[in-house]
Amino acid sequence: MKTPIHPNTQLLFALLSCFAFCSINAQVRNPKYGQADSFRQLDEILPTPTEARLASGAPGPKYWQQRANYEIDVELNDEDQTLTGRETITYQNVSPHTLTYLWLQLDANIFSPTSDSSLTATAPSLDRISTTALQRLQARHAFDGSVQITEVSDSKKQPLKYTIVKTMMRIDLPAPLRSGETFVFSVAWNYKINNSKVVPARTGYEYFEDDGNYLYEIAHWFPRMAAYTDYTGWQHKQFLGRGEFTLELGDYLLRITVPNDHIVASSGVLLNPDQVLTDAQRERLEAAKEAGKPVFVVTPEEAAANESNKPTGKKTWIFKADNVRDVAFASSRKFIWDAQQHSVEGKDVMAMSYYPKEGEPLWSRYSTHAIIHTLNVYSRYTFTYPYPVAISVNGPVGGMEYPMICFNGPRPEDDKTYSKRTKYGLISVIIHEVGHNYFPMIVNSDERQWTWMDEGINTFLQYLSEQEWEENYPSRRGRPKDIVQYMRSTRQVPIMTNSESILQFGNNAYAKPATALNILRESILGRELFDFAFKEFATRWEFKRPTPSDFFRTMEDASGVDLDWFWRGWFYGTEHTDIGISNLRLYTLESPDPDVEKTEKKKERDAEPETLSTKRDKPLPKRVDQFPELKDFYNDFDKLDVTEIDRKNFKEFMEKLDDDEKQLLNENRNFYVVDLENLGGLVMPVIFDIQFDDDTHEELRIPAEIWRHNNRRVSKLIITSKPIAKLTLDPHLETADVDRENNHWPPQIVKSRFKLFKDKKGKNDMQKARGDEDEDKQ
Amino acid sequence: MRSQMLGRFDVTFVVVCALFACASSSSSAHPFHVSFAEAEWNAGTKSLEVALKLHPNDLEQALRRLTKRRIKLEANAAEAAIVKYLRNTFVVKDKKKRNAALTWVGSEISVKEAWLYFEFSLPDGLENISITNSVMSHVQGQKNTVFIRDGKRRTTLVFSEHQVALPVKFTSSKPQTAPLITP
Repeated sequence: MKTPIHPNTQLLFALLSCFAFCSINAQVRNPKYGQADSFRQLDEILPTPTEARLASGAPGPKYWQQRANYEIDVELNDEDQTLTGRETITYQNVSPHTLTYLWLQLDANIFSPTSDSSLTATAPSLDRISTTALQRLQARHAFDGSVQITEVSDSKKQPLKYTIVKTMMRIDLPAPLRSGETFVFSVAWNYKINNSKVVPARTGYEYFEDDGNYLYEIAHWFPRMAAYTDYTGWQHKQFLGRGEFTLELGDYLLRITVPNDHIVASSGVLLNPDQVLTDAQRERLEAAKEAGKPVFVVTPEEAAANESNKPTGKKTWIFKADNVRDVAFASSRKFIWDAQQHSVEGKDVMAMSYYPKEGEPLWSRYSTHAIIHTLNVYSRYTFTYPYPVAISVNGPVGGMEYPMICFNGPRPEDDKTYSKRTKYGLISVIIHEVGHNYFPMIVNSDERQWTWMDEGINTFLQYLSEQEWEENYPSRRGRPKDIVQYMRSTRQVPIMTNSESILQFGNNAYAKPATALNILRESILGRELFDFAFKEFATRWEFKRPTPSDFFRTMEDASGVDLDWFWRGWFYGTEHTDIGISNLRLYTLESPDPDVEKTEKKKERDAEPETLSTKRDKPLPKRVDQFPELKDFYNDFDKLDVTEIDRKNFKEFMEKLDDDEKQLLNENRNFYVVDLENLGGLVMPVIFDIQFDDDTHEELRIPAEIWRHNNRRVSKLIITSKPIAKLTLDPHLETADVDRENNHWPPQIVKSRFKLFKDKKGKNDMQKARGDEDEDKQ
Repeated sequence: MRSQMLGRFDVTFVVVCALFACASSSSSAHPFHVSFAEAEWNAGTKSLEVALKLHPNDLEQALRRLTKRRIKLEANAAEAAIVKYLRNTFVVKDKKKRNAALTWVGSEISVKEAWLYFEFSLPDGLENISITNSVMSHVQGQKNTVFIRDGKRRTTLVFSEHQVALPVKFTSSKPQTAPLITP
């Protein structure tokens, strides 16, 4: 009989179901089973393929992307730290659509006291705030680094109507811009450059009190075309500080005017070395082509002399950068400059580093080497580095990437010594930032929407590059065991969360996707399949703009492995790996021979312990002993006695078996059933180390699909010829299992880090040394 | 900082704080301003045993701020400064809101991480205690996670610049997903 449900209960039930549905993110729940299907295809989640973005993950025959070429004149004023520029943009409407307005990014408007970034930030805890932070607050309050637009005009110098919407600017076109047409217009602007010490950002200047000089690292410094795309129209989400840049590719001509004693490093190739470099510097730059190691173009001695100089005028450095989505530059009279030309898969690239004396001796030793190493490794996994230069600059910015140029912060101590941490910190950050040339500068993903598409993929390749720098390189992220603490934590959002809404930003957008890709490569696809599919993704989308679905689809399309469960778990969910052994049962085959089997069973019965009562009742006099006539057949009959019928049945049974079946019976196999529980929720491969009685080992690797019928509990049959002594799950720590205590049979207590440390501490160094001596004597 | 501020100044101040917080959210290679602690309840000794992992560079910077001099973590002098720093920034209060005594156990410093080991004596047990964790609060956007284990019970606390003190409450270790119906 059906129990009627009260209307209120129905409503509550509906609400609860809705909540349950919403809470199991990206999962479609089956109400008659109670489990979400972890292996369901991502049909509801991925966008429908089009002829621009194919179901295979490749760009299709109707793929398009806009293009914008820039000619920019800019002057850096070293007296008041301002920047003044004028640009002419040639915008090509490659899209099949007619446009009536254009959107540009004015990123420097983030430095306005009334920017959205400022207004929407929530309050910090005021209970504890450092004095330096307070100083910064005060300095920042007084600073307005927003962009002043002084001209927006068409190619005939006629003013164009424009509207500034915080960090974006809309220009209304005088006539609709049809598909295939080009629009040329100019913008002039100026702004105050931020002092990195008090307003740290991705751009800014550093003032050196000792010598009174400035070092500038200049980025997101000119009005840039916002991207117009097939999947979201104009990408004009406001710049709130996290989601970086989404830009169009194009060719740039830059004329950068600076004090005439400055050295300028910029995206692109220097077109006028004759006008800005000395004869000696040009000769050294030429020598760097063949030297095979870094060569000083500006020596430390020359830089030291420049530091005490005063400029006598201005110089204009001209650079050309083709097929880039952005340009950045650095300028200072303090720069030491070294260079080495290197052939990357047959293509010549000039690798160059610029740094003040404060970066020495670390920078001349490692920077240019790290650039070249990055180009070698990344090109092998993706495509040949296509640009003519690759630059690393030391200045106030901790680590930030732009096409052909990046800014990196680590420096030694004042006494020129440096810690191991600083050394590896520098090499790692250079690999990371130079690596960004591939993602997102060339594989031009939408950073404002998806941070992981460049940071996560880049951090993964950074890990591979670091491991090829030296053995056991101390990489901070990439290994599964290093992500465990984050995976276990609360307050998490899926990787597939908009850049501005991410919680635990670094772990979410860098470490988790990098680790996921590492696991996919090592434990799920294997290196060969993964590397083939990954290279396919990179080459398909070189100089194009992929979305996450293009990545997911290509990796499946090229590897030939259905990975929807993997993307669903790692990229759309927040569950973690925690697989545990809940039980292990042993089954052995009964022998059909009654003489063997019944004797065995008798032994087992006799081995059973006597109960206390039976033991105490034994000496009591029994009635059947007093009156033996009471005993009959059943008093003497033992059902485990072998009868003639048993023997006859066995004979008949054996006669029916063929030789193979007889051999199988004689093989004496053990049938173990191991019960597994998925406590973390994430479906992952099950990897066992089986240790046998004789101390030999066997590895059993079961794909994640073992969870396809039941993603909570499964049992696995393991047939062995030798008895199992010990089972260990995830023996190589490759699945980021957050609780290793339930990974063992028989159960094993895993000591906490604290206890392990205390155990180690038990002996002091002298005792340990004495212990070593004792061992030596043995 | 004084918690009482008046009128317009109060409002302006908070806006400026907010403004600073976002203008500085840069440095794309090192957004990893996190610490992680594993804390385990030792019922035998009635103490909470803590292993705290920090970025060594951040820790060195914090010690420099505290002592106004440069201290290498590997130096012997570092230990006293670390203990002083922990007593200021990692506080456990018992159910009567009294500070639990911190006992220093030791440290392990490597290129990637600094592990600090210490314990808190809690004779009244683990119930209704609270933790204040403001380590590395000089770093903008710092997130501090503490994973606490007491036998089968476990919980995770996440501290940020917005929330430096939290009560310890245990949650179920089971994942929050749909109930299992065995076929």
